Amino acid sequence: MLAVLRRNPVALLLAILLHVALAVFLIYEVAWRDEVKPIGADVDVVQARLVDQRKLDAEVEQREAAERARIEEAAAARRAEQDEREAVEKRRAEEKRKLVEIEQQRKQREQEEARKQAEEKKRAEAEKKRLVELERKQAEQKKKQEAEKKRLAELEKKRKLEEQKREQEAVRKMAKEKAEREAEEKAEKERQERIAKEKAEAERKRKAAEDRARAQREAELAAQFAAEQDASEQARVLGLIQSKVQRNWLRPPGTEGLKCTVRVRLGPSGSVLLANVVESSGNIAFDRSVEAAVRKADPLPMPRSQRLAALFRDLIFEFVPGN
Amino acid sequence: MKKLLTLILLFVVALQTKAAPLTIEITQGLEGALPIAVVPFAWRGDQGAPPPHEVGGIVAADLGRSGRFKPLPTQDMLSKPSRGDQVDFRDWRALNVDNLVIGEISPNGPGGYLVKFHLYDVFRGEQLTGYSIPTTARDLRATAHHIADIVYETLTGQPGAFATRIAYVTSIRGGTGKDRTEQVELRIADADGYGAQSIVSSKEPIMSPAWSPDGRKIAYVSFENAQPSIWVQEVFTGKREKLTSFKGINGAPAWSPDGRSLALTLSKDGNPDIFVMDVARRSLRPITRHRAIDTEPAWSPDGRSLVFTSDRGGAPQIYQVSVNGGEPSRVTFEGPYNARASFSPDGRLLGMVTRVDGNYRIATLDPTTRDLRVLSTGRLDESPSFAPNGSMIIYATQASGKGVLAAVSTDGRVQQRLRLQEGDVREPVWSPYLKNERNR
Repeated sequence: MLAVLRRNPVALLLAILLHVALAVFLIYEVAWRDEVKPIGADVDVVQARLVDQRKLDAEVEQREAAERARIEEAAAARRAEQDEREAVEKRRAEEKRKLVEIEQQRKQREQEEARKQAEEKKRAEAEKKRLVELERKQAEQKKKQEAEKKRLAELEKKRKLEEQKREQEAVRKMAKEKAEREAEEKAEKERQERIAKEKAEAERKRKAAEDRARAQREAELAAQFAAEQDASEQARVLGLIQSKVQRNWLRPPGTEGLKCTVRVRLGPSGSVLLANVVESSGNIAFDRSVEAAVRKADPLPMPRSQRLAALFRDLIFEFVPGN
Repeated sequence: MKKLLTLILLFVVALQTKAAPLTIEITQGLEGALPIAVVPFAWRGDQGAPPPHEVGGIVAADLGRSGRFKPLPTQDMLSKPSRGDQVDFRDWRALNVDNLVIGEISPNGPGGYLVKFHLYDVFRGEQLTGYSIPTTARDLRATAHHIADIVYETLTGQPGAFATRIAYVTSIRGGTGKDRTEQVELRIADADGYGAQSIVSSKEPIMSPAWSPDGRKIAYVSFENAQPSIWVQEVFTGKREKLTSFKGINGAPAWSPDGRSLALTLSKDGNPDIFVMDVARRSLRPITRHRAIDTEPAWSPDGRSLVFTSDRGGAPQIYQVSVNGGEPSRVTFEGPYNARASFSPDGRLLGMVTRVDGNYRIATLDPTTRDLRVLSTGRLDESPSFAPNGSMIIYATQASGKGVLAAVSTDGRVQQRLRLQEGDVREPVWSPYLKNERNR
């Protein structure tokens, strides 16, 4: 009901206004009737009309009578003399009848007046009764109004209460809604955050996977590169070693065609730890020259890479002088 | 594909790690003498006479003369240790010296010395050998040569030939015009030319000295009494005897490796031919019989054949013939003149005189490959003789109009004059190893 009202405040207002209007009508209807009822008090339109009509009728009658008289006079004027006596008689009769009539009228009027006075009295009593009744009614009305007012107040109070309640409800609801909204927002935020987090996580994972893949690819490339590098590095270092040993090889004269093999063990930095002839040429000087060449070349060049360097820790030198 | 290649490469590398060590082939080396430092030997005596010779210097000179070593000049040495505890190998490595000899001499009784020396491998940082050799002032040079021999043998694997001797003929002219005199001497000196002693002296020519294989005797041709004859003389005693004195030429004696026989040239039958004489029995056995001149026989080390010079082909060339005779085969084909052949101690080479562009030069021939290598650069080089270790050839050459001795390493890399030569020197011959002097 309240909700309906609340939903239709205009209707409510209109209803209230209607009620108020009705109340005002209830209250002031009597007054209007009051104003209508007393005849002598104020200008009674109805009575005035009645009087006037009569007057007017009389006047019209008079005037018509006058007119007729004048016409008759005019006509009588020519017959006047003829009729004068008749007329005078007649007028006398007439006047007599008229007097009777007037008397009658006066009587009637007095009767009417009495009746009117009785009626008036009756009406006054009725009026009084009515007034009492009105008063009672007014009181009743008042009471009713008060009740209405009270009711209205009650209603208002109730309305206000309801309003308040509604407001509270609204506030509560709003609070609730706010809380809900906030919760929702929070949830949404959390959801968003979770999504962001998940997204970030996914991104991170993707990136990690990508990184891993790239690292693997790079590692592969590096390994490949290292292998290629190793091969070329190995060749390079072997070349360096060969060159250095050759530079340090003082070959005894007349040793073409001899061959001597030396096994060499190197320290991590290429220092010659051991140089042993494993396959002698049979020529001591040649063998010695070969061993000396290796020792003189100490330290031998080593690859930069540790892994590759390991390969170079154990070397075989074949000394085969070319002619 | 690349990945596969990588894997294969890695695998190969891995395999190499497991399978075999890396092998590096060295083909190019500087052919040359071995740097060595011989520090002057320190004298450790505060009493008695200091040694008359600087032993370290003799050792260094010997080693240098061989052509196999390049001694570091004394002034270049950063330190001069004489004892093992004074050696800092870094000094010597810095000088890129392969080997180091240090030594000291201390008094050892009256007139005696004790020579101590050490040979080090500088790059190995260890001693290779070391000896204490008692000696005397007189034998000090011999001791030094002996040390040089030990060093040489230790480092090359071949015996050194420094403590050996050379015999040569020198002719000393005196006076002028009609008073002109000529003193011819057969001399023996250390291999470095020092310590020459005359063992035969004559006013007539002396030719073709030849060492017996034991180094105790020398056979030679002497024209004393105006008649060439072959004599054999004991080196240390001077005791000698005439071996042959046939009519005509008695020349070019050569000891067989076993020392029992002498190959020689005789023209007793009218034409010079090669004979072999049993020294003990004095019996002769003809080896060649040809109307051309056959001379200058030399034994192969195995004693089974002889090489000699013959002009049977029109010009002097080298031929080889069995000791049992038979048809000689020609050995030399290159050049218009090849003569005076002798075998290297290992029998692989022939040393000889060859004519190159009108000059007579010392050369070696590898009979198997016929590879002729001219070693000397003189105009009139003659009488090549191998050192007993085959590392050098001594020969006579002309300088300032007279004959001097020169030596060349067998590879031709080192040539040098021998000093302390008096007069016109010819016909040097290198002694065999002198066992009695090797007092190791």
